[in-house]
Amino acid sequence: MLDVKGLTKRYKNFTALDQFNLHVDRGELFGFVGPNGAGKTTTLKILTGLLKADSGTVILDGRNILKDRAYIRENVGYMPDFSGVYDNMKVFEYMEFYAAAYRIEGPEARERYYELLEMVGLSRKADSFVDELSRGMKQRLSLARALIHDPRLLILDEPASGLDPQSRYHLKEVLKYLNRDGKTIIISSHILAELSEMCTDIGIIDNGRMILRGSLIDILDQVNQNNPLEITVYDGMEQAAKILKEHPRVQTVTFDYHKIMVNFSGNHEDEAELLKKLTMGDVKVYEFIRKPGSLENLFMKITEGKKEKVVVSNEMEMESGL
Amino acid sequence: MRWKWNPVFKMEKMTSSRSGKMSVIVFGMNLILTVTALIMLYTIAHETGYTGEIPYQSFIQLYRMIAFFEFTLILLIVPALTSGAVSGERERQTLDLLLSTKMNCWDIIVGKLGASFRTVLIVIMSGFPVLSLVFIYGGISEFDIVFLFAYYVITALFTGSLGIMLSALFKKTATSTAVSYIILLLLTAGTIAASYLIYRISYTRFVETGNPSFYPTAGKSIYLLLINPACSFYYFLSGQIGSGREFYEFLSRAGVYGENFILENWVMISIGIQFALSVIFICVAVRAIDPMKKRQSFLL
Repeated sequence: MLDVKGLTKRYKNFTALDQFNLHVDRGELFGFVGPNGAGKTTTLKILTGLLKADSGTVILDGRNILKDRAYIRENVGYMPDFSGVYDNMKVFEYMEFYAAAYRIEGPEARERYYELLEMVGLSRKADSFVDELSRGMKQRLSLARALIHDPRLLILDEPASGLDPQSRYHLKEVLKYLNRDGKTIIISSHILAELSEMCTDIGIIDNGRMILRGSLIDILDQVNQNNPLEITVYDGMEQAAKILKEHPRVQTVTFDYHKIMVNFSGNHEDEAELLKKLTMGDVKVYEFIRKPGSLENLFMKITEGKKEKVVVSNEMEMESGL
Repeated sequence: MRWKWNPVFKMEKMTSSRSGKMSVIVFGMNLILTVTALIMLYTIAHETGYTGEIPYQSFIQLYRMIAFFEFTLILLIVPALTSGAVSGERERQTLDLLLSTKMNCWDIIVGKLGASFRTVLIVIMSGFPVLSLVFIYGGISEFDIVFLFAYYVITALFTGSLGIMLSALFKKTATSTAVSYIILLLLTAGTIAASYLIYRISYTRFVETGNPSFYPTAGKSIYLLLINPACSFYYFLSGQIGSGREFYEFLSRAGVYGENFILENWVMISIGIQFALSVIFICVAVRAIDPMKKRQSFLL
């Protein structure tokens, strides 16, 4: 559906995007992660036609949308991290205004926006003034606005930033529903945990480059494979040590009473083979696990040198109760 | 094809009507106009009681006063209304939302300008009943009022498009408002001051050389006043309620000028220039908000 190749954007001496590539298939709920200043918003703004790229191509449904903004307006819905509102405007008028801006008017517009307000749980607030809504409600209203023209691709830039846990949960549920309904969604965040709960695929951007991209399951596997094996031995420590030292995939071994920490480079099959060797070698294995890794650890590893920013995002997670 | 309102215009119309700001402006302006007009009428009636003569000239003065008052009001309120039109959207973080819709940059700018225009027209038209007091004894025709209204429209377009352009070029409303008033000050007082300064330099040279064949004059710099809406309004009004010589007398302070094509058609040429500049300002504003054309570094 969306194919981005060699996207480059420079601001004076700063390169925000450097030969950036991205592929998103139809129906994906794609999580776009990266530390602050990595190039997420720049990418999303280019995808929504709000920023000009210096070079590269962005193909949406076979069309180069960098040269066809009309197609973006028709098929892409955009929700920024913070959506401003107008004073003295009611919720239904806000929706009516954006419907008119998308050339949808009359009964068709009314039907559409009431349906969307219902979906985001704001139908009872239709007659309230927009500036009186809470931040969470404003974000939900912004989501409804982004969907007013029934876009094929929905782009959300840090939609949950500043929201309380309840609002986050509600937003997440709505996005999952939209995804099940067939919408392709790209959602950016600097908080991995937030995305891991709902995204089917994620991509990690750093310094304007996509450094990791894949399905969430594959990436979690990759994360786990980088973590040490934790083997608890009931009996046969000496035999275990001998087997492990001779094993070609074992890099380092640390002994701690009954526990052995093994840096092991192998997949699930290799792990099974190792366990088999240990048990065949008269080692009584009590526990054999690959220490579960977190996406945060991976994120910190691959965005090395930006640890401070990652720590900041973790603090925000804690503050927000996640 | 069914006529459709510009969504931005429609939205601005609705939100500004609710704010109550316009009611205050209309009330305030009409209060001042009415009180002034009543004082003048009372004075006329009082004088007539003593002398038995009706001072018709006073009604013309009333017209002149109201016309100038409304013109000054346009110069003062239009920049305030327009200089936050686009920068306000930026500050509110709604500009990107507008740009991501099917509306193009023209729709947004024209909608914004139209909404400001509407406010100004309502304010001006609300003062017309007071202005119509001059019809009691005549001297001013209905056409004069129509032409006056047309001149107001051109001035509102000129100052409004200037405000919109600055609003699109500058990120902050405070900056664009300040620059709008500075430019208007330069256009009105600045052009007069520049012409007079050039005349004074010429006059000093005349005194120094003592050459009797050398006439001190501001030269062609006097045509700078063509972009001065206040100057042209003075000419326009002196044509309506006088012989038009008042403007030549005004120009004589910057030297002696014989009649020529430009001086004879001053108001029309000035209107043409103001209109052309308005179109340029609108085009610049459209370009400034177009994400595919704007230069980030240009924005302050």
